[in-house]
Amino acid sequence: MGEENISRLVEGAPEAWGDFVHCHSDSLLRMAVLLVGDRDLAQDALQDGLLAAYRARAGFRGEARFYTWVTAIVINECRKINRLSAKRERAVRISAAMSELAHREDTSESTEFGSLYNAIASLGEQEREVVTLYYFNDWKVSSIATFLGLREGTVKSHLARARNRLRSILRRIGEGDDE
Amino acid sequence: MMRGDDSDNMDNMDNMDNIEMDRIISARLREELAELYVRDEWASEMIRQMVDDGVERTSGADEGLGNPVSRTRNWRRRCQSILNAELEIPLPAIVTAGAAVVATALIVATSWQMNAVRPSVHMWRVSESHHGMAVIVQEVAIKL
Repeated sequence: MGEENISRLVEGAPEAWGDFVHCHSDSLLRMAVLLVGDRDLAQDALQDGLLAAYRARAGFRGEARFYTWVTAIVINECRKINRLSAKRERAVRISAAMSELAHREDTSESTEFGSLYNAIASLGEQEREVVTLYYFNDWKVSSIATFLGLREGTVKSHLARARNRLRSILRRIGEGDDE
Repeated sequence: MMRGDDSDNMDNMDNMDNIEMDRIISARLREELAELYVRDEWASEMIRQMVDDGVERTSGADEGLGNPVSRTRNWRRRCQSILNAELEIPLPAIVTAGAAVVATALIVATSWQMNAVRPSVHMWRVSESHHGMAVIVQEVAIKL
């Protein structure tokens, strides 16, 4: 994103924000779904996050990419939503979201669709954030550590545990393909 | 597409280095989430809400206009309920409803025609004495 576009975003130009929403909202929504485990709540988080970013645009200091800055705001909205919902409720929502995601015309796909998503959604909040930012947002370990206020070693530990878990899931998927 | 790539790699998964494993996980995760997207109408409404919010704030007209965030949620739920309603109506139900409308229209039209015929019959009775059956048949045919 060019400097000119960023300055227009900071000014609050509707066209610039329109372009931004059209370019990035899908990616932000998918991240939010991973973090809250529910499509509707993810949409709320996305809307609240984008609105919050729009309001706070004058505070963007250019220390990170504009998209990264908005991502952080959307993550905070996801945290707020997660704080409001009990763990048990979240499990129910994850289950419902999985049913929705698994509803596809191709039944051969539906048996495994969402396996990684399901595994990630069942993680604790911090581990889920680490995994989402690393695998979905392609953030570096150092960036994740800075954003979450963790040591890089802690981030790597989370990733190592998650990688082993996801590896076993992928292996099961692979075995399913062989049958 | 990805599944083929993945299955090719499954045999060597135990020996796979973490970088390759991470690449597969990232790709697989994106594939799983690919069907999630923001609908155009939602995005448009989201942008409109932002602009409205900005206008309200710069004009100092926040008071009494409600919470923009609440309104944002309202529009999404409204859009979603409309979309869900559209998506959840099965084709047989649409066909049945259409057939019912057509049948009702035919009944109404037939009733109307019957009403239209009765005056003719009445006219027939009136005119029979004057012009005879041939005139009556012609009038009924015109009405139908």
